[in-house]
Amino acid sequence: MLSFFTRQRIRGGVHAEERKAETASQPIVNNFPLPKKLYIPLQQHVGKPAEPLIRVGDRVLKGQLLAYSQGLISAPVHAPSSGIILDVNDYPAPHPSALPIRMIVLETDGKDEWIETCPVADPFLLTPEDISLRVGAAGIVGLGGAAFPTAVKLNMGRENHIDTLIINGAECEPYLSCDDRQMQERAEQIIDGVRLMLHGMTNSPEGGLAGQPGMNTCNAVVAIEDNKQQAYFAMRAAAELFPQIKVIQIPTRYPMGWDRQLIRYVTGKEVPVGCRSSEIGVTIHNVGTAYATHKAIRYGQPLVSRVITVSGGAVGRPMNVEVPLGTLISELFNFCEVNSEDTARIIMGGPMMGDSLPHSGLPTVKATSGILALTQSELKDTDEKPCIRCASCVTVCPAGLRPLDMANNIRVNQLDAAVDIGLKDCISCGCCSYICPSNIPLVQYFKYASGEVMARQQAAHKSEQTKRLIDDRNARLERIAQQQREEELARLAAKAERERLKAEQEAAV
Amino acid sequence: MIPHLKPSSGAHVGAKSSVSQIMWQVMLALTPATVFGIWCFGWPALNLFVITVVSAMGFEAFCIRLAGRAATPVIMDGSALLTGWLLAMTLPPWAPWWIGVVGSGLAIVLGKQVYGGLGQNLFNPAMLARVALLISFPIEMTTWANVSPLFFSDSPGLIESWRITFAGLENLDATTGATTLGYIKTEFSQNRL
Ligand code: SF4
Ligand code: SF4
Repeated sequence: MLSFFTRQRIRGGVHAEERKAETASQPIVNNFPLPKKLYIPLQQHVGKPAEPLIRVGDRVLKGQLLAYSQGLISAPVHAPSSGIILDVNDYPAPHPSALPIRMIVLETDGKDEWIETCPVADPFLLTPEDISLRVGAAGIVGLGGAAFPTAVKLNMGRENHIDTLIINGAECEPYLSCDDRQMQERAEQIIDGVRLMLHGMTNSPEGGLAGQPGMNTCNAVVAIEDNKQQAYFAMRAAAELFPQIKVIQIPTRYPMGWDRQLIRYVTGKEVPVGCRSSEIGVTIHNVGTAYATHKAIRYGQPLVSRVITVSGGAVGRPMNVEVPLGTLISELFNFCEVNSEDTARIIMGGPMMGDSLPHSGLPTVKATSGILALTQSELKDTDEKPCIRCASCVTVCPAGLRPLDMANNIRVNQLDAAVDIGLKDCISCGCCSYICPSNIPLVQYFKYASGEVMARQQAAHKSEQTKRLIDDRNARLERIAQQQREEELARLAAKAERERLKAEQEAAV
Repeated sequence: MIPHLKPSSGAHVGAKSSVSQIMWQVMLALTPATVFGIWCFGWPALNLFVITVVSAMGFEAFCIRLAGRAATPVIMDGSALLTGWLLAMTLPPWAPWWIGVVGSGLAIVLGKQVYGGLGQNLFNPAMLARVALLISFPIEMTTWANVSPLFFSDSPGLIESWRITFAGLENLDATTGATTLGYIKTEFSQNRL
């Protein structure tokens, strides 16, 4: 009966085989050997890429600023270890296309020497603005995979009167367990990070003490899927002293960690289509982000490493491991004893939403929550059959869309029709592809179509702009010609007037 | 148009479901009603059921061979079997054998394969065939046997059942007639009631 009621609050979704046990049962590995070279992309976040301020040949220390953020939505990049800058150039990106993007190549010197950091004794004496400035300067972005700059979200929180901060510990993707492990091992630090985030969103002029009555009306809810009992107990124990932080369990179901699903479940509120969650007073951060915030504020350490789940059937030693950002996947694979012959597909992220990578010579970035090396038997079949209109995809779609109809429209290139029935609301969660008995790569269709629609819109925008420029130019020329004509007429009139006067004078003489 | 030899986006893992699995699930759901129906109407119902299902698979194989493809994997997906099954469930249980065969042919050829096979059909093939049969052979399609459960004294024996299915109904053991509803409808439509 209970599940009947709770199901009302969860739309769609699937219960995928978890396969988390192998990595979730072991502690986070901290002795990853420092790679010889690190490849640090300048864009590891949503927004504008960072601008490098070092030169080739410079010696840098761990935590030193390598590239500063540009514009409103951006994040800086710091050195993950000490060493010499070898190159600033284009290298293949950790993306299915592996197209080159700008990266800084750092040759490590093995000393791993930290730059001088400035720890803060009591961060709750800092103003909220100062908190988000420090978070921004530490290069922190959403570590759940979205990679949206955290400071921007904190600022929005101050402006928008957020009353609920949800800390996303759902980790609903199969295989991944890095958040689970972090919650088990670093619960106190995460809770401290949550308190700092709450403080960073307080909008009192002087910045009050978090938890002080009247000062901070925002409460935090840490939501953890009920398949992570140990993480739940650890977090609850750590949050006991802080009444403004509640730790709750949520049902295990993919995609429980999707922001709208989580908000609906936790607060009962629905985020209207086309709106941000902050507009209804809710904001979401990932547990890993809370931990990074704790490190950045308490110890002044920027984001230079993260915990990554390395798992999959082809991995000899699956584990959660803390690695410096910019570590090549091939080095991770060596350390975890990945059998390259068995590896049928390399995936960055989880198996539901992650992208497959063409090879392992690509770096890990801030948003990399997991690297999977899956064997053929773990993968979904690729022999596509005709759609039998079983509507399974409709049942599981958490966004309430009709994937089969969208796919049919896309197949005959009627992209506008697909947009009309909700293509833009598709979150690429992968539930429809997961469930489809005919192995139709639905998400692939939707991503292709979204890209196409975007390109067309840009092209239309461009041609419109060109048209406007031409129109403007014609109007300007017309105006000038008109002016010239008027001047000419005035000149002729003046001349006629002069001649008339002259004739009058002559007549008078 | 869309490269999907090696999909770049998720889901990379999948539920263990396939087209044939869904077909088998539907058949499993049909089984109780089927068994009960055969028990109610005796061996002739079983004969018709087998004839319809087998001929549906035969027509499917024939069409696939015509298209120059291997028939076995297509037959194995169970969709033709299911179509035959559904059609059999809608036929009068004592209908002659050719009703089943013609019906299956209509369902598979006209209802499904002319559109391009599995998943391309406009209507449910079995229901399309039933409508076509009803229009073409109204007498056979509206002759319903009275219930005479298997192993009861008035139920036809095996040999008798073959005669019913293959030679048609002659010496009727059971009788049918227009129901009152049919009578009322006719009278109503002629403004006589
Ligand atoms: S799940 Fe696949 S086969 Fe079923 S309706 Fe959707 S697209 Fe068609
Ligand atoms: S990928 Fe898009 S269409 Fe498919 S289930 Fe998720 S939201 Fe729905």
